[in-house]
Amino acid sequence: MPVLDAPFAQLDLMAVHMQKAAIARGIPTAIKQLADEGRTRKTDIWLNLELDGEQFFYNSGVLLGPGRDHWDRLGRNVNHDAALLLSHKYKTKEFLDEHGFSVPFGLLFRRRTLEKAFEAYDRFSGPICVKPNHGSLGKGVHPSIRDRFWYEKALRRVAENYPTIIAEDSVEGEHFRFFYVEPEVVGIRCGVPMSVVGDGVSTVAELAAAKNAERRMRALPTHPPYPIDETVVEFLGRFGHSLNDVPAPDERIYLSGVSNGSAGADTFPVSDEVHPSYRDVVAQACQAVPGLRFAGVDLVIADKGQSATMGNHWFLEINVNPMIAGFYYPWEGEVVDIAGAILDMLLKRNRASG
Amino acid sequence: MTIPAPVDRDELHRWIIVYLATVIGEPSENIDPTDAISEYDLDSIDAVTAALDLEAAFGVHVHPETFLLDDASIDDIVARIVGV
Repeated sequence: MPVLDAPFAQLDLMAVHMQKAAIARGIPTAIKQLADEGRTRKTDIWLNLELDGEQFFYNSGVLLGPGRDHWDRLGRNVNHDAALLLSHKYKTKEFLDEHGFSVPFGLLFRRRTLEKAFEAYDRFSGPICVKPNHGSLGKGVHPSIRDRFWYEKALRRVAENYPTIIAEDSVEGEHFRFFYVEPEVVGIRCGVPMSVVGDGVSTVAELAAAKNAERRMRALPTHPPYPIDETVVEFLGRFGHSLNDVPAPDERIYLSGVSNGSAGADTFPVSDEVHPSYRDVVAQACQAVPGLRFAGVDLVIADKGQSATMGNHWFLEINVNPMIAGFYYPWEGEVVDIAGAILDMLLKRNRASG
Repeated sequence: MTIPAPVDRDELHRWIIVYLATVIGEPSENIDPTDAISEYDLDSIDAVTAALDLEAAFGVHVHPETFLLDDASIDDIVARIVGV
């Protein structure tokens, strides 16, 4: 497919930040468009970067470098060697477990034989999370399932759109996204699922409307208004709540169980609050994966003030095409320049191999 | 320059059936080579892995989309590869 110069095309939000970081480092950039018979999709507009004579392309978390991949795209994913493993969440889980890292117990099923998944309910002793094996942005994730009815319903829901499904222990703790850029963690943020805090007077519906009004006012691209729909009603119902409830002052009611910013969670950068041992264990896990240059790592931590030990934290997934917007538009807190860190890593690698 | 050996049709046919059965976790007897590949519900990771493993086994570069073609059967895929 031909690649055209498109200097006036609109980059996606993450590519905008990558471009700013490149300009700050004197790295030449251009905007390119994949020609597709006059139809332009978001995935067709790429930021082109020239690092020490080599061409890179960036779009929505995907960074392509020199070479070709099996899908014959513009270039080869910088994380190519790691991508095949890490795109498969269950194989990632097995790999991490084999290498001594803490993961939730889980099972993999195919929707062709969904009855095997139903039969496995009793293999779990606590809350269950059902999710696609190959999903993103928190889509299709159903955490905190505590009964067979919702378990089977979640499996059927995921099976509507995904051929392979994971059921795993729904571990409890705070959810964090660590951003790894070889050889270390460069940023950490916490994701709090969409929730409201009671005042003793307002209903959940009213509190949610107020929160959405605040989101509209602040207009952060990473925190759009959250749809209060049947999904929310169902989630509330699973925990004995409804939109008409009036929570007590300071009582937090969750409208979702998903901690991804893209799925409605509030995200905050954290650093000193998290025991430094978690940075070390995440870096070690990423270094264990051949060919992994940068990644978003999802970790659940039972107590962020305590040192990391087996069983007090769990790796959920490692994302090879991680979104970076959450570090530029937190609900509260400082920006972390992830794009700059990625470019600095690439420049260092190029010069080391040079 | 080394010229790759021609691919044995029967060997390739057997390989794909066994491979598919392994991926989906079912006996090879459950795989009907005349069924559309979509019956076996592969996802994109399955397709890329299959393409890579097939290339390693037979020295033939196959696009992963080969394993995602809704209407193609294993017989069709083998014919397409051997015909390349």
